[in-house]
Amino acid sequence: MNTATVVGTASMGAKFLGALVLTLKVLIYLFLMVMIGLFLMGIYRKFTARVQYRVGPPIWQPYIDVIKLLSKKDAATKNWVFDLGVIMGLGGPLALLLFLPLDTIVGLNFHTKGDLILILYLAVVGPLGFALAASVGASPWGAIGVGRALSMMLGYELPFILGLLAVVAKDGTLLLQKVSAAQSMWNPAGWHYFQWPLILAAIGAHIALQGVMSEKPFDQAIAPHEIASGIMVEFGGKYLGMMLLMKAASLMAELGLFAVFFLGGTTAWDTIVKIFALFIIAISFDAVLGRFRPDQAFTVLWKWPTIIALLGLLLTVFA
Amino acid sequence: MVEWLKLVDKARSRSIWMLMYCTGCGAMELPPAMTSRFDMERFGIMPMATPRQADVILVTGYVTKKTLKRIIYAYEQMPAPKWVVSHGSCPINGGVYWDSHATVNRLDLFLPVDLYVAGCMPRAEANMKMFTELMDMIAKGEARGWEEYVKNRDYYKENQRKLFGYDLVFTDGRSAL
Ligand code: SF4
Repeated sequence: MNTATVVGTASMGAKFLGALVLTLKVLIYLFLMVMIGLFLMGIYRKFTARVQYRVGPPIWQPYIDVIKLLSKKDAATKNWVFDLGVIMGLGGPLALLLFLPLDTIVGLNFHTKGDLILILYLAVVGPLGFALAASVGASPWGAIGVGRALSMMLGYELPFILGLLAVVAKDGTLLLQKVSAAQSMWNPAGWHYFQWPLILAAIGAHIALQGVMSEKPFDQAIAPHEIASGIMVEFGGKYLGMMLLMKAASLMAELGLFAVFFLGGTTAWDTIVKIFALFIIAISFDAVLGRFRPDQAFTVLWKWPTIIALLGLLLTVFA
Repeated sequence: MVEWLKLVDKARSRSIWMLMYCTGCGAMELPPAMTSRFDMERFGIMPMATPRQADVILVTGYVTKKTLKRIIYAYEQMPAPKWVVSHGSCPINGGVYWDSHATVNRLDLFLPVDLYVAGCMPRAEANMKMFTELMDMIAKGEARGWEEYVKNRDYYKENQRKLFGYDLVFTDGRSAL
């Protein structure tokens, strides 16, 4: 054996090891994010209970729910499209999480490659996956839920993207890393949220964020009392467990994206703090508001947040 | 493995999602158990909208032949492990409707009932007692009605056939279990 082959195998081994370490890091990172997301959901349930003058479940209730659901014995599947839809639904937000600066928590640097176009594409994979699975489910409630979910998506994406575009116009970049570099990490005066005229775009996007997270008053797609939980109607056991995990991951992804664009999220830790703050604001509104009818919600979303965000965008570009 | 199973049973007992099949007046006492006075969510017990998401089916009131079919369909759609609670005198022995031509006097001939709550109607305190009892039974692994239903399938199906006069199958042609 000559030296060249030895060197060749050695570098192959090193490459393999590097890939292994990277995979492990990605898995740990995604696991951590889902765990924090589930913790947020625990806060949500406790908070809502306290607002309603109840004791409420323990804060680790979502973990118990997920263990129970994943340990269910039968899984009522429909066909392979149903399974594929569920996997898409979970995969979308997980892929999105990779491109947010939260990944510095385990020392990854995928976020340097994250740009807005990529992220906007990845953001719709999750909801579309679950819409696909729900429509295969063939329940009439599911069909109503899918219709509502897709029309709501149309409703909140417009103001949300207009708000993000204003930031893009101000900073002249699509890269997330440069957007957060243009703000200060802890000083609120240095955040896009509190700068004129970007504050208009931020307020528009913040109202739309309530729809992105499908919290009240924009939770038409999963209205449990009206349409028997809509898109979730055919999901039981392990599928519902996957859906809870998807909800946890997408909470982190959506709030993280907003924190990066408007609150100067630069590293993992400060972004997580900002995510918690944003989440508390969101669930305070969720706890006291009712639910719009689907047509009202659509009108509201395309009226107020859109006008405010558009104004912000126009003032940023032309003033 | 045993430890792990214990943990899973514990998790199951602390996260009971119910499908309230409110066939009669007995459902009246559930809202107090749900809201701030008794607050069953502190045990992780929540109402769910569909059978697919539920762990427990609560039959609260008299069972007519017509609703029994729906109850069986709903029960068979639930993912195992699953439990049945017979709530109030009517599903236990017929209650005040015992001689009606339309009602079924005993639910446990047709479905494996894990727990009975007597009373016409059971008050919210009895409901809370029922929930804590059910949690204990699940945590200890004692409530195994769903296994009985598979094991004694012939018995239950025969009873159902005698009542309805035909076999209950899912509408898409699959057999029910
Ligand atoms: S047991 Fe009493 S309260 Fe319950 S359904 Fe029968 S009659 Fe009504």
